[in-house]
Amino acid sequence: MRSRKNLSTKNYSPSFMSKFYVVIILLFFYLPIFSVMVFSFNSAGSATRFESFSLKWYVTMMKNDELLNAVQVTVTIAILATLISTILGVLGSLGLAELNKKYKGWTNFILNINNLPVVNPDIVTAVSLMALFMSLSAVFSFGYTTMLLAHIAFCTPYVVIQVYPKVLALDPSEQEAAMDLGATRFQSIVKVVLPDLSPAIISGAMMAFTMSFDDFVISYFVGGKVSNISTYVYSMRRFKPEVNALSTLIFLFIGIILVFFEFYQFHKERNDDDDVKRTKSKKIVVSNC
Amino acid sequence: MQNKSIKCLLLVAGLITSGFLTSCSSKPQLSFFNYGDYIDSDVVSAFEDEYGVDVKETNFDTIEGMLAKMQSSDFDVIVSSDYGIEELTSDKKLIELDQTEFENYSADRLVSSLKSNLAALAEDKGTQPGFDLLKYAVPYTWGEVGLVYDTTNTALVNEIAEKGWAVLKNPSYKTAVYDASRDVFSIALAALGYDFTNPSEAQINEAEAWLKDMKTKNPGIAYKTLSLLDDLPNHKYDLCLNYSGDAAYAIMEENENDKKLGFTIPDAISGGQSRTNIYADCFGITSSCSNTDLAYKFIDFCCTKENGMANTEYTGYTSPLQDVYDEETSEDGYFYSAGDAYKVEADSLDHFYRYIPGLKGTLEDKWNNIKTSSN
Amino acid sequence: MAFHVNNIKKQKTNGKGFKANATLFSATPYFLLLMILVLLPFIFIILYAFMSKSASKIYLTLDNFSKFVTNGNFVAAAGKSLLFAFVTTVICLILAYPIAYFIGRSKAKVRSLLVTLITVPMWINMLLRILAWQQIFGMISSWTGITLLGTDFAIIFGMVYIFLPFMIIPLYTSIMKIDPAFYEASKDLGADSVETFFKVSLPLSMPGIISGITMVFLPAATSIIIPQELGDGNSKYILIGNLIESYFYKGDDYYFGSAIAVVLSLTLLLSIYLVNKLDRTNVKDRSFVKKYAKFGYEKALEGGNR
Repeated sequence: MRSRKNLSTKNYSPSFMSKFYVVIILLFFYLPIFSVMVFSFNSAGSATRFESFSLKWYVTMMKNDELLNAVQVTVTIAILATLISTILGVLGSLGLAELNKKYKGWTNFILNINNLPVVNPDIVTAVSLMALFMSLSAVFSFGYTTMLLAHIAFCTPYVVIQVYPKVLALDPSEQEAAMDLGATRFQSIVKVVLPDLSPAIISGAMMAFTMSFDDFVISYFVGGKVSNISTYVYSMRRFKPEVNALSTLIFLFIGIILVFFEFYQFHKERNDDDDVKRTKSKKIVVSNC
Repeated sequence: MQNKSIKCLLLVAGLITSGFLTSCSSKPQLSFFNYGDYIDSDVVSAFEDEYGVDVKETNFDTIEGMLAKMQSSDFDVIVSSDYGIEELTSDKKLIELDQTEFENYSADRLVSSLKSNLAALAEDKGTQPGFDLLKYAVPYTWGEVGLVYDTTNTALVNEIAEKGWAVLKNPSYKTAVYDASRDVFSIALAALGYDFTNPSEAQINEAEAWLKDMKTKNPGIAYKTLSLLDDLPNHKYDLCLNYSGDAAYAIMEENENDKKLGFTIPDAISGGQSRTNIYADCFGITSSCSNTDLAYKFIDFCCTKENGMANTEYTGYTSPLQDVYDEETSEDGYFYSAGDAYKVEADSLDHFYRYIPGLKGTLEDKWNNIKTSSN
Repeated sequence: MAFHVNNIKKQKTNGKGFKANATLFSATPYFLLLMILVLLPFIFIILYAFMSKSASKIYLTLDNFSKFVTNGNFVAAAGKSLLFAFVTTVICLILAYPIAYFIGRSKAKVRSLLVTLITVPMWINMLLRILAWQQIFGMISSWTGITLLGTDFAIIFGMVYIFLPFMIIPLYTSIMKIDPAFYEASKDLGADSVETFFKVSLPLSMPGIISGITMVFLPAATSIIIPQELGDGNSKYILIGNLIESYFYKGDDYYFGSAIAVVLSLTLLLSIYLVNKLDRTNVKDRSFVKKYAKFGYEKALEGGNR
């Protein structure tokens, strides 16, 4: 029993031009990042004249309490918001797919609401959330909680956008087969449906994380006293080179995590033919029931 | 495998959040709302060490942004421009200061020209009641709006002397204008001879026409704000309408080449009611402040001669304290080379902005219209 | 084999298989989130757009809308914004498709590596990345004398830079789902690669294209930082996002700002709705996909049996 998923990999051998093009695009993406990294080591404060190699901005960065605080806020909110929105988004997508079987109109209506934060300019989402929290000011005072809620509010739609189409495109026969073979509905979802959805879930989660990490306008309006990296950078009167140092560190940190991740994948001998993996997991379902 | 990675993520998240929670220290906190990059962090650290407290600073980039945030959040000590202080007091957001709480600061220590202008501000003027700024705020920096220009360009120098603010209409100079509706309208009104503090509708319309004329005649004008602090030292512009504080910073930081920056304030036109805008950014203590004692101490701490000097050298804005001012402008003072950009002398025709409900909106509206118009 | 055909028949029936079960109820937090944190605030903004304040009295009015619509300058700024967004979207689509195709058809390992490589730059603050381009443009201009800042090129370049990943990701997701049997089948039936692209790839990746357009066009049209930092202060580049920002931040007129935003949102939503209508292979409408699916299955099975 073959699945449609990921069979696209079959028979594809990209030409040299394609590979070259990919490299060019990647260079395009990374050029300003390299520039930031190079100038983080610049002894002069300027970002146009390179004077000499120096680590002084890294030292300054470590002493900048506000900046470090902002980093902590950004990271914790991004992680929490991503986790919560991914869970809500996946459950939401599954529920929506269920709803879609009978109530297509309602599903479309809900999807349109889902797309509102994506569609609206972020300043509109920001002010709307601020208005909401102001009216609930007895319950919420602006700060970490409101920022977190706001981030969850605008990240979850991105997860649903990634996951929901995939849910619809699922082959229901797989889940049915698992249940026919004795799995409970819950087991069939966890062991068959979720693994099928995992690429979409991961890309949804990554999108959510990115949107949260880089957000400015919404955090500014609903964050109150609490500032994250973006609001900190935006309110800098003069350009501060230690921000370059911070960006370089973030970039290297992420780079290191990813290298580890890639090695981990490689070590696990991940088969690029995903149905083998799913056949394995179905075997597990069968053997467990 | 997914389960494992989810568990890993949860663990990391848990660690980080617990790290965050434990960092909420038991030391007394003072929340401080200030312009970005507008105080010497060493001064703040010294205060934290001396009193064993934590100062949590939040930043804003414009007064309007600050006022908006004040609606939804609480802070203990804030820094705001004069008209922001006025608006906050009318909203009852600031406490009236008990001058006896200060050891270092006292109104007598203020620079004399600033003091006389503040006294003029406190007077009633016809229909407009006065506002006693010193009752609610402690001046932190001050300055005036003027022209930053390339002193080596003799034609420009002559034209400024001749035409005053109207030099901005000349397209032969690479010009930048600080993008703030209030400031551009006040110099337009000054150029037309009016008092810009509470202009009538007719006067505003005239000023609008003046500014539209400026944009039409000099279409290459760049409208920028904070980025001017990077552009001016690089001599990107021959002429720039800006604040004396930014001018002082630019002059101190400028690149050594054949151009040299200077700062000047054009005279009022004969019979004119205004010369330029004088501003004072001040400390204030909010009515929601939980620890007023500490707040007074913080402001007082910044007003010692030593800390005053540290702060003024960091921000580049003129200090309102006479002793600091004198020392910085003396021949071996740090700001001697900044000349008039630091050594501000207020005139009786220099006015503070007033908080006039609705004026801000009107001016912003008209300014947006002017900027987006196609010539 | 018979099992498959039976399944496809099952999918045709609408409404069957729906059960108000645990799956649906587990989605309640999500539904609540949408109602309270998305829909409700949006209603607030719509209300704001119809309100105005004079002498601290708030009242309902259509003035905000008329003020915006009758102002030639503001409408021109909105038009410019939409134009920039349109050009950006087209360029993003053209640039993104080849790389999305590459990613979509690559092995999972390569795919995840490339996707990560593309998303990582987004974790560096957007303002910093734009400032970096601002400085690079400045450097280029001091070396070669070519001014890039404050030109249409700079704005579009900056927008493409920031929004390209948002086009690549939905595109590759869509392309990934295309059964390669279709490409085989197309080749077998005598089509060359151009025809295959227009008749197989393009229609089947339509959901991704639509999704990508939505994620690029709208934010590009309301961008604040890109025109502000790359426009070099030139008043030509005061776009609609900057205007909205000024009314919220500086002019203290949330109501007018909301009105502009609402007009803009509605315009954008309408255009997206129209574009959506063009897509006959919408995921929601599966009949088209099912026809191809059946064909594809049979082809694939034939291939397997050979």
